[in-house]
Amino acid sequence: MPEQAPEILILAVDDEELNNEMIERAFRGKKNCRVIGASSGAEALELLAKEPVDIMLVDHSMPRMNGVQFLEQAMRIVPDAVSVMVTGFPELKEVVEARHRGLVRHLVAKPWKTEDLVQAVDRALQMREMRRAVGKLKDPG
Amino acid sequence: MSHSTTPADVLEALSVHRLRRLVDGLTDAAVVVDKDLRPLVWNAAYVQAVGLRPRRFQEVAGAEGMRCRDLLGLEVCEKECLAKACLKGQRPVRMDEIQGRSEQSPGAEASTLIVSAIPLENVAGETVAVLEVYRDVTAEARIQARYKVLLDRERRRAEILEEQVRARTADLERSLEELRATRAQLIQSEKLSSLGQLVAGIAHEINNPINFIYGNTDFLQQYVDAFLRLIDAYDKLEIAAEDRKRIENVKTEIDFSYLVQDTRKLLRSIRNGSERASAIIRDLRAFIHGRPMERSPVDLVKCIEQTLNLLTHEVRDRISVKREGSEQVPTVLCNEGQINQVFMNLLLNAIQAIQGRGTITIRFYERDGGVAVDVTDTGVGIPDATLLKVFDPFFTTKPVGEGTGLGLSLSYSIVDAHGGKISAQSKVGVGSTFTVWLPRDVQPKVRGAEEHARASS
Repeated sequence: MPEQAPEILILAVDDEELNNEMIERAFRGKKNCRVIGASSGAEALELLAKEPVDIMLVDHSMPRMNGVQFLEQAMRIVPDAVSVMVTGFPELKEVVEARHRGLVRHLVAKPWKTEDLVQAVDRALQMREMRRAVGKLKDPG
Repeated sequence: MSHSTTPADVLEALSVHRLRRLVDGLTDAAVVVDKDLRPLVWNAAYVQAVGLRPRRFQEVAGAEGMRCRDLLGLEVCEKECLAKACLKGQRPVRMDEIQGRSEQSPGAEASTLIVSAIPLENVAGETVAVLEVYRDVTAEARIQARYKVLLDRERRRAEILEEQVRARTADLERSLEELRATRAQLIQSEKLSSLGQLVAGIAHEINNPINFIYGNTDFLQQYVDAFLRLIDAYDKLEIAAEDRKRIENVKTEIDFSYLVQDTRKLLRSIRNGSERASAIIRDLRAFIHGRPMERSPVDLVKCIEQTLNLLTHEVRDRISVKREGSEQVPTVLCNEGQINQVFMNLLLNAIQAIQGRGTITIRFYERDGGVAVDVTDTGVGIPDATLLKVFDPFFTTKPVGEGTGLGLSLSYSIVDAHGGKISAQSKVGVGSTFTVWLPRDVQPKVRGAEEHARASS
């Protein structure tokens, strides 16, 4: 088997599992991308402990633990992962503040267009690459 | 008295006696004068009115050429002599409210008199003398004057009272009007806030289902295309004639070519519907959240002009636009984009209200530390019952698909978030006026976002 680029693991967190299914659909066939879904923040945290997640696509309005609360815990487990918030209400004060804090890197408005979602993930990956490159320059070795 | 008396003398003596008795019997000052106004008979009251002692009076009255006016001269005697008028007209003459003499006791109140002159005839029926009666009505006149003063004062007081009542009524009416306006504003913001929460809840609930439809349509389209490609590939295969026939039979049975065409139509209509639904959700989001607002000093006249430029196509030569008071309008601290949106809504509504030709008048004026803009159209007008609802979310009179019913309520929440006010007046068949008032400088009102956070958590 030829050497492959490392797999990009995407974690979709939405209490509506049909949304997670759609995210899986959107990245099906995109090379190196694998999507795993979680229908609650708690379930997603369990997955994070087991899987090396690169990108988190997180809904905000979820029962018990909302998206921002989830990300607060998740970023401690996977500080290098890129967080994308998928929400119908990106103007919510809590979401806006989370963006200011850097907890949310990117926003995708719901209802989304598949291409917007894919583009947001591409941008998020590029940003991560750039951050990594800058990090290496600052701290070589 | 003479010793030799004729019957005429006796009669005359009797008459004179009776006349004296008559004059004496009068309580008012009275004097009988002849045609030359010489006093012939008088009573004690007359003597007293003249102001002489009886003996002295006798002397003076008996003097040669003495006339009544020399004894008791009144102003009226100079102007028109009542006795002469009486002699001339051969009938009684009377004059009221005659000023009496006051020189006897200067400073004293002038007396008021009623003077009557009564003709006295001889046996032959000729008027030979005049009885003058001077009735002193000073006391009555004084009471009357006093009464008049009181009446005047009472009347003035009543007028003042009436004036006060009028002013108070006007005050009350104004307060009532203000209260009504405040109440309307309160009801409106209460409606908006509770409706806002309801709308936020609904928007949140339908957001996901719309997302499934909206997002999955693309996949379905892709999949259908893939199936069609597959079918096409099968169709191109070289197969046995009877197999081909079997497949053609199935195609005919299911009306295959129609299904292919109609599936595309179905997908288009699903996409169209879900796109419209997502647009509504987007509008709702703008409605629920007072977006983070950047404010800067904004020239409202410029705002209106920019908006009008965008509407040139709609206005054309059908509608003439007038501007009033736009020369010197102070800038207002606000979010230009949002205020443009408000004007866009108001102007679009005004344009749509005008059927055929008409006029839109935009009037700027300063009021209550802010700037007010009236947008008046000569359109169809809005019935009172409808006017109450124009700012309600989802209220629309436009045909399905042409308006979401959010324009004016969105305008309302934008203006409200600026600490301003928006109101509407209308008359059916005459037109409508929408007024936006914005304070010149205000602290942004933070609401919406928090309310929604409460509603959705």
